[in-house]
Amino acid sequence: MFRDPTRKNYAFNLIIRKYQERLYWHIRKMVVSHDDTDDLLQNTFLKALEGLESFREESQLFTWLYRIATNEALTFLRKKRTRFMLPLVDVEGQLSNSLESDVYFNGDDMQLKFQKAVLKLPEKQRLVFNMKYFEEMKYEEISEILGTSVGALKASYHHAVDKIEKFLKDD
Amino acid sequence: MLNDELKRNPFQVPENYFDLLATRIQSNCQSKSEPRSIFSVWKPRLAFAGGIAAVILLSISFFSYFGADNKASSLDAAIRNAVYVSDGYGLQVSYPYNSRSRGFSYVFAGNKKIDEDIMIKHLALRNVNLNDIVSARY
Repeated sequence: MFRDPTRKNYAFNLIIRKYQERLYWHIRKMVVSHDDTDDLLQNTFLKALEGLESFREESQLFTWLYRIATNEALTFLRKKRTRFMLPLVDVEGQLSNSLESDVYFNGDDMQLKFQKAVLKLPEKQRLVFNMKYFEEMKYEEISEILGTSVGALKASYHHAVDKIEKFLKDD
Repeated sequence: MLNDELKRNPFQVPENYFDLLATRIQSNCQSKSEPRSIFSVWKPRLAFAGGIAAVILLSISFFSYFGADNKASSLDAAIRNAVYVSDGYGLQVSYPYNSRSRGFSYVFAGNKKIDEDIMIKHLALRNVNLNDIVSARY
């Protein structure tokens, strides 16, 4: 449908409506701030619109959109980390601190602690954890999006769970 | 230990955010992805090229103006000296023999005092190079 110029807008609108919430929460879990998520989500759909005609359907549309959104979020975090050529910034620490003052965060103490534990994970591990635990995706789907083997993803997820449990016990 | 209670999403969004999101994203995406006119594509490059051209022109103007001025003032000083020596009634400018010219001798003479400005212009018109002047005398 999106290769037909007369129906492209309609098709694009359907795509946005279908995937907007899932992609929003996928990005939001990575960058925490609502405003940043809103910007990144727009970039994701803009890139999708630009590449829609060349989309080869070798992968599912959903997988392709997820890959764009993931790259947007990771690029954003990396830029934030190395901004102005200054020494590496502890972005996860900043995100963790911003949770308490975030007007769009409505969790109790346990959830705040849990979210802080998740934010302590390395970027890629956090990504895997979010996709498996919160989004309940299959390892095969995650593998297609991240280009990582299922075995490596399983190991990464279990490491993440161990770290979070340890953090929650110790704290 | 990671129970389902922790899966509850503690993050929120502004009211009606998702209701308006598709329309907003679509209008933003379409305005950003509209094909740009040839002029808007070339505009920054043209501006850059124009800036470079302006700098080059300004440099050329600057050097030609001040360079000519320096040369004119040196020539002017040489002739004024010569005129002073010659009491203002004549001047002979001699050029050495070289590969470019066979030597040149030019004489201003007359029974009235030579106007210095006329002399300067006259020498400038003949492309007299100050470095070539061997002597200036009456």
